[in-house]
Amino acid sequence: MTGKKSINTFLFAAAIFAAAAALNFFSGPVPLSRDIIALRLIRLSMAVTAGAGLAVCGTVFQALLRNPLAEPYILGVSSGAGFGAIACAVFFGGAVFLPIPAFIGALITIFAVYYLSRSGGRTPIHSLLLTGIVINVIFSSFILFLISTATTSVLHDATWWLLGNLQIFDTRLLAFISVLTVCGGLVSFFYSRELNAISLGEEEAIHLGIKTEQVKSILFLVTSIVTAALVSACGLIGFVGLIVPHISRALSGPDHRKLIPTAAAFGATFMLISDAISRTIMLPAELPVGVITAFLGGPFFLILLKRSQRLKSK
Amino acid sequence: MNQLLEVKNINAGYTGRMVLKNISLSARAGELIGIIGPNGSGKSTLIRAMSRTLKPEGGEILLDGRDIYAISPLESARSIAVVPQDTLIAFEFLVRDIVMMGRIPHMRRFSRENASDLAAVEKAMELTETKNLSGRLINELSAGERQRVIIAKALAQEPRLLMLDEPTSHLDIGHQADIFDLVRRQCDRGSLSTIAVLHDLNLASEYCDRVLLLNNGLLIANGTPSEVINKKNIEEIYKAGIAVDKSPQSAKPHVFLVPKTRDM
Repeated sequence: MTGKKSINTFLFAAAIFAAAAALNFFSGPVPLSRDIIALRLIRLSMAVTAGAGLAVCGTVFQALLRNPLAEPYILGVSSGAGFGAIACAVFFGGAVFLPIPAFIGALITIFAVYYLSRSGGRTPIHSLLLTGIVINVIFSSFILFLISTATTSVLHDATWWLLGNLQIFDTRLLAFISVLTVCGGLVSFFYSRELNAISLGEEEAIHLGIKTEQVKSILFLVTSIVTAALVSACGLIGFVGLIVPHISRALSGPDHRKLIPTAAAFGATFMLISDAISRTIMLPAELPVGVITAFLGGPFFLILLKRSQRLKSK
Repeated sequence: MNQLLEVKNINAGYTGRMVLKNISLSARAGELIGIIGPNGSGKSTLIRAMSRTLKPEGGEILLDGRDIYAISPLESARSIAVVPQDTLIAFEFLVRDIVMMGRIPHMRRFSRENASDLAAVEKAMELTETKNLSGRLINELSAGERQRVIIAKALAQEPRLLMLDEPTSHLDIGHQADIFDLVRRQCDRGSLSTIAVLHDLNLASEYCDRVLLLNNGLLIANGTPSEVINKKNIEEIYKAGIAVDKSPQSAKPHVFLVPKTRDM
């Protein structure tokens, strides 16, 4: 890409991002007061962090698993977090700050999946996937069990958390998650060329001089921890980690040196718009943002799938 | 004569099952070596052991006299390139991006492609006749085109040693010849040595300087095609009725299958 063209592309992306941020900031039923501005800014920052973070984690997962259907929740991080949060809500009521038990639950899942799937110094992708999916099922059954025994108010809290919500109130939580996400994004970007090589296959990457097992372990742990933090704070925001990497790949090509920044920018923009819609479409009620991302993302994914099927049959 | 690669008494395999037993071999600059043997004899495992994807248990593998597991992976990737049997790529990379990945071991992490990278890619694509595919998507190519692109990637690595694992088993006779003519020419220039696993005995006989015959993880024979590919060796190890004659063109041994069901 020539210098001028890439600057133009960058300016264009920046303009769309700014427009989405403005849309997100100004949309809402109440006039802007001091407190509302503070809340909006926290929410806007959370949307940017969650959108960019989930998109980058999804991109990395798809490359590591060499599976375009992979997404950040596939290895059970989300159900681990869900179990942590809901168990706490059931046993201690609303008194506990839910993101903390959720984060602990997610971390336990990550390390369980990682250690159970390792054998002889290697982490084979198929055993990682299988272990992740089984852990996911186990924790989901725990969640269903807890929900079936829960009272109505706990049930409402738990469901609301599960559906995904970007409004957090604690700036320390926001700072923690943002720092973690930025670090995770930088680590992923640092390993761009390793991800390119691993997209061809693990042995092919070794032949190109990549320390495949080491890179896989680092990236799996880093992106899982970022996902854990995001899920703990915002609940289950679906489809962003699956769809955004696909659209970004169509925009920038599969080279991770371009793909990772593109996915981050596109994920943030997508989340800002989804959040603006979720706050205003059913006034005075507010929809969980996860409903909007899935509602927009689902059909889009089907169109993408159909298109690629047509390409293949040609 | 200095050896480029020396394999000394390696054992290698998978948990609880040793596939290779006490294998030794060596490769000089410019040599084209074929590895033949029946299914399950350990040919691919040998390639995996020599290309650092499967660490041998015991024995050593020396590149220029140095243990390949003692040098960095990037350094050994600057000397050794591998072409697997078939490469399935899930993402829509352009052909030129794939070939450029061969430059990974030569490039610094975030540096842009410099003139020598571009020149190596250009040359590799010229040799493999893949320049016309440059802007196509890798997953839309035919098997033969894709394999040529993967070979271009390996050549862009500018290796001194190329390892091929049945690189032409999915290709027709014309494409097989193209690929081995290319490899043979590079070896004759002295710039490259090649170790190729081959299913096709006649291909091995026609192109290789030396042929290694494996059976049950043991090295049975190591010599010129005329020394190794004879009726006794092949019948005994492949358990097939064969006849061996000479190619009318090259006078190299060629193997003919003799069916057991009919009287000839």
